[in-house]
Amino acid sequence: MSAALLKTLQTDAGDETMRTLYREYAPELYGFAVGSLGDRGMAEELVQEVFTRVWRHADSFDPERASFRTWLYGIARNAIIDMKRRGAARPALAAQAAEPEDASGDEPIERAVLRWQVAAALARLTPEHRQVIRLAHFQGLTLREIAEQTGVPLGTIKSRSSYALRGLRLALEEMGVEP
Amino acid sequence: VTAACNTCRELLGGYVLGALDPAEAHEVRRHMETCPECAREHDDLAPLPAALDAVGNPDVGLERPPAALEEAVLDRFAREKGPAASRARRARRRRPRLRRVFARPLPAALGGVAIGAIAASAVLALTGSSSDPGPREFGARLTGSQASTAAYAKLSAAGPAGTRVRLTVHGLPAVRGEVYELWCVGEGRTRWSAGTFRVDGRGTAEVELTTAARLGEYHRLSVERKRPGAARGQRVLAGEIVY
Repeated sequence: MSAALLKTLQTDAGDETMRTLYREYAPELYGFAVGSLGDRGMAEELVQEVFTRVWRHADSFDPERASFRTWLYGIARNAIIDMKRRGAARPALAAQAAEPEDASGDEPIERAVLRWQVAAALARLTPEHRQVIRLAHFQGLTLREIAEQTGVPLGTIKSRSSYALRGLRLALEEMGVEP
Repeated sequence: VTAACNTCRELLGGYVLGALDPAEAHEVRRHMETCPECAREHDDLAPLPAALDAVGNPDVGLERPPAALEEAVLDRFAREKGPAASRARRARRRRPRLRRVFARPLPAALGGVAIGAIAASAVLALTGSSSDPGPREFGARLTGSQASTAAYAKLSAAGPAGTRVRLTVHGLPAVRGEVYELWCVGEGRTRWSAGTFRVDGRGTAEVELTTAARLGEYHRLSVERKRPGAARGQRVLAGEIVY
């Protein structure tokens, strides 16, 4: 993502640039927003708000200082803070703001971006690869237990877990992340 | 690469995830002491569990924005960018009701977790016949009958007779030898097929379909999965049209 491309937002070609940006980044931004806000409607609002701010503040993007994704995350984080501040007057949103998984909290920006990127990388894996990672890493099952639980031969689960991690590594590399 | 390497590579994923039996883990460790190549392969994968810890929930990235959100973002961009761009865009766009339909939060109680629990959902919008003085636009959200399906669809129709339908689907499973069919469902059991379509390997489809039914003659839309030629299939998505 280049600063030059962002500059075209102000030109007649702006619509196409915006569409390109949206298609590249909106899915992961939306996933991040749902995770942070716990509500799809609010996540949609947030995505709209973030892309609006992207073109308004396109001049402030400096590729020397941060990647586009990091910059985009900073915008999203500020937008979430604003949204929750506005929502504090509304009981339903105030309740959301109390959720523990709070992107606007003290979480260092690097870690939050990593969270976003890894979630996006996981989403690129096949369901089978994601499942073996979910069961082994997040649920703490052994490969033998996974084979028993899923009815898939143990040998398949073994090689699948290796392919799954290589796939994750590759997906992260494609996003420019060095885990 | 030796047979021992092959065994080691197969076990490396489980080893890095800490999911091997102790004997197997020992075997991997011993092999890597003498095999720099496998050790390097291990080093590539070793940081991943820490990265996974950052996520907390492995399914959060699976959430996909509704198809109409793209249009809403581009609309807002055009609107705020300037009157000239806005006018140009308005001339191309014929779906003003879409945003209102999509602006409503989905009814399902969501924590942004457990994608499996989220009912498949699809969003439809119909554009009225061109014989009307102004554009008539309608929308509907379709909900899936299978909890495992996470799908969104956008649909717009135009044309002087009947309805031409543009359907965008995300997240429907591709089943070998089966197709999806869009139905327009009217009063009683009357229904009109708008044709069949297939999804690609990623579960998405963008197709233009045509049905003989006119807007107003039907009130529901449904998508069925079936074998080609079969009269009926299994319903996977359905929803009311908002007139």
